[in-house]
Amino acid sequence: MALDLTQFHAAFFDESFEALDSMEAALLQLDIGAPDPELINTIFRVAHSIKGGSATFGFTEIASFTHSLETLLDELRGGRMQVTQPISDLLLKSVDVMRAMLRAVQAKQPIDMQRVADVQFDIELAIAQKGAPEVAAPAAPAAPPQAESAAGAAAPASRGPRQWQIRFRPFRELFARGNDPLRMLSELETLGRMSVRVDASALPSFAALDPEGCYLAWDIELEGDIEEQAIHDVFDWAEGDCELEIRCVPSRETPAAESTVEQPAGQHEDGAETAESSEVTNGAAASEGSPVSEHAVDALLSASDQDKASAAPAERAPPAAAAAEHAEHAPKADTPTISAVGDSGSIRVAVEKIDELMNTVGELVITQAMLSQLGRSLEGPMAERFRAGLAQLERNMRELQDSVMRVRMLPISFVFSRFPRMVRDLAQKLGKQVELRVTGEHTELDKTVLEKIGDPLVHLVRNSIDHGLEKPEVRVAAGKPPVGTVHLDACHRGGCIAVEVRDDGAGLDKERILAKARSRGLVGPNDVLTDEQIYELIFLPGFSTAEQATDVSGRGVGMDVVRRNVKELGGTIDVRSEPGKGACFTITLPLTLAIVDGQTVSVGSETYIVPLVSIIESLQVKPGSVNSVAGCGEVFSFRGEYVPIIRLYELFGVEPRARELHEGLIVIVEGEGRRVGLFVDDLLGQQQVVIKSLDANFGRVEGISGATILGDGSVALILDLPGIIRRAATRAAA
Amino acid sequence: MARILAVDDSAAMRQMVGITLSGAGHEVEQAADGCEALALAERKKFDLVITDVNMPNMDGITLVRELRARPAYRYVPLLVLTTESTAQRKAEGKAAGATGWIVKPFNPERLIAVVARVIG
Repeated sequence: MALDLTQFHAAFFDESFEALDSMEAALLQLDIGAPDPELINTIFRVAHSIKGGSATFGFTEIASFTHSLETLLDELRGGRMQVTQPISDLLLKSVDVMRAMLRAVQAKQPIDMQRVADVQFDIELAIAQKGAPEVAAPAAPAAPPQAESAAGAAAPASRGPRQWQIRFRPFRELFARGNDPLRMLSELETLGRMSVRVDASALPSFAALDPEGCYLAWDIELEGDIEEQAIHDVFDWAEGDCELEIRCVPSRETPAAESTVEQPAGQHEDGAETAESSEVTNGAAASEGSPVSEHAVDALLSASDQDKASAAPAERAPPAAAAAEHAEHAPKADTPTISAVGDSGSIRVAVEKIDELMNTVGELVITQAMLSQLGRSLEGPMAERFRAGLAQLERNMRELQDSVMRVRMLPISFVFSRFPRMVRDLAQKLGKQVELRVTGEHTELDKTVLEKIGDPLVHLVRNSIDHGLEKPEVRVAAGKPPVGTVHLDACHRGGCIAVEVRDDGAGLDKERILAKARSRGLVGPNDVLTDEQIYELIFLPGFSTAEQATDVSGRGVGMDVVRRNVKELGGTIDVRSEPGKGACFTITLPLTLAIVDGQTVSVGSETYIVPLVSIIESLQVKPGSVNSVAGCGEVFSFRGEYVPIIRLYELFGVEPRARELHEGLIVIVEGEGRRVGLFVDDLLGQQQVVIKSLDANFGRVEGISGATILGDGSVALILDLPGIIRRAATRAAA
Repeated sequence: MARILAVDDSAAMRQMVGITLSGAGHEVEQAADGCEALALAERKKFDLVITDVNMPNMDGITLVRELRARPAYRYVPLLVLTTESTAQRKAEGKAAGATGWIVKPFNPERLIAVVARVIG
């Protein structure tokens, strides 16, 4: 049967990556010198599973590497080697190598074997230095069974039919491990021509018979083109539970090369147990025991079947002792032990399926809203009941929507989990001592947001360690503990999630920021700025305070990119800093990108939705407070700042109700760091709307981030403010 | 056709064993560790248990020992999946009451052959 193993590859990769994550986490928790055995076990298990899986699925390079790693871990597990810093580093490196190998295999790319070989060499070196002899042949195949030696040599691989004489004398407790002579005999029969004689001489009298013991022995002659190993394989599992002699009679009457496997007698129990009332089934076989040939096997077949039958009553009525033992063991087995990292009752679901679900729920919400609106206009005796039903429906819909939304939510620990490793590596590289504290890692947020928040956070943490925290000696001189702290924190704040990266380093250097900004012409030489304004400068494009771009930060990615990424997610980033005490960056993000809190505004017969987070204020302008500026169109003064006005009806080509500015309203919004006033007819209300993408049908439309369907069934476009501002700017310039 | 319980903490291995043996006409149930397997085995009688050794919560050797201690599993074949075929490992398995072992890596054909050997 040809089974396509590739169908299991995806599952193997998924769980291997997950296992590597937990291995990494365990490694980072591992205390040098006094490691927790449970952690080492977890680490060992990961290597072991990956080895088993990769070997089974034919990824030999990974299997070979993990084998070496496993050997090392086994040494650690057995306490024959100590967990030292270099070993811990080596293990972490191994995680990287395994991850890289798995990724390469998954992407069907070649593996970077040089890197693998380097680390593998280090591993084997580490084991060798400890002086373990078994490392010499790390990938040694299974040791051949001991029995092969003598006969293997004496009866060389001269092919052709051979005559084998086998004496098989199982110990009485053979059945106790679920082994069955019948199976072995049937299997032997498949190898060649076989004749069997049963030896029932050990069978005791009926009264002394233990029905669960094996009293019979067999003499077997086997003829055919059979390797000795094949015969040994048949009895492989009975090794230690039997006496087994295998003799080869290569040609007739030639003195037989003999190989005797005398297994050390196991603890022979004295067969003095009282016999239960049972048919002497073994006796049945014994009486028929003398004839040779296949019939004997048939007889044995039936005998053994009865044997099973006789064992059955014993199963049904367990001895009291066994029952007591049973009762004692059961609760013990069920007590949950400390579970390994990542053990959770969860299932894997493709994201598309969830999106689909989400979409359908979105449609349902809309249908429900339509029905509600219809319900309000109904009259008559049934109307009240109809409305009550609708109210119920609405409640359930909201719950359903919440539940589906929660399905998409993942704890932020998915992002946080990469930091311990990064912080450790960075601290080592920079010669700093850093403690990473993580709180609120269970805070959940939408998967799409989660995926995009990683990079900005990495940047902030890097910055904190590279620029924020001082070297230990500097810290001590400043009266601080030598170990700096970087604190990652996540929490829900209203409908948002706030993620903080806080350090207890030197804080932002106001003078240097200002000087840099002046030298770049970002600030006029005589401008006076508040602290907040100075800190804001670091988010300007092209700003970087590090004197030299280090390997760690300053890869051409500045804080401006961080801010832009956060903005793209509909979030904001703020910084607070106190000289000598540290800095704190706060990213505030919406919980999800699938739903937005919107302000509905009307322009003519159209309704638009403005994301609530971007709205600063809505107001009515007095006639005369608006000026026309060349190249900018209309502007008006808003708290000392001139804000350009965008007339939405002009932009979208709609017929408005209000053409004069004082007849309608101005909604002051912010996008890409600029403020503009949107001129609309009226504000309608605030509501949560489910964003439906337009991209699939219309391609990307500048200024529109999507659409939603309102309660009355009409479609409202959701405004993308940065896009609107760009669009208006090009129009003004044109 | 036999009722088989496959125990492995790796879902990929479990699936492979499961699909291979179901394909050979057996009824296969899966458990992710010894504890789970034991709970399943107590609810239902299996004709064969195939278990991995290294697993969280309860390892395969303990599982074998626990199962053997139960009257319903006194004579049921219990096979251990192992990557190490060293004599020491085998002795450990035997001492716990394992019927035999399947050395990893194995391919589906070999698995079916081994199962046929104990199911008969």
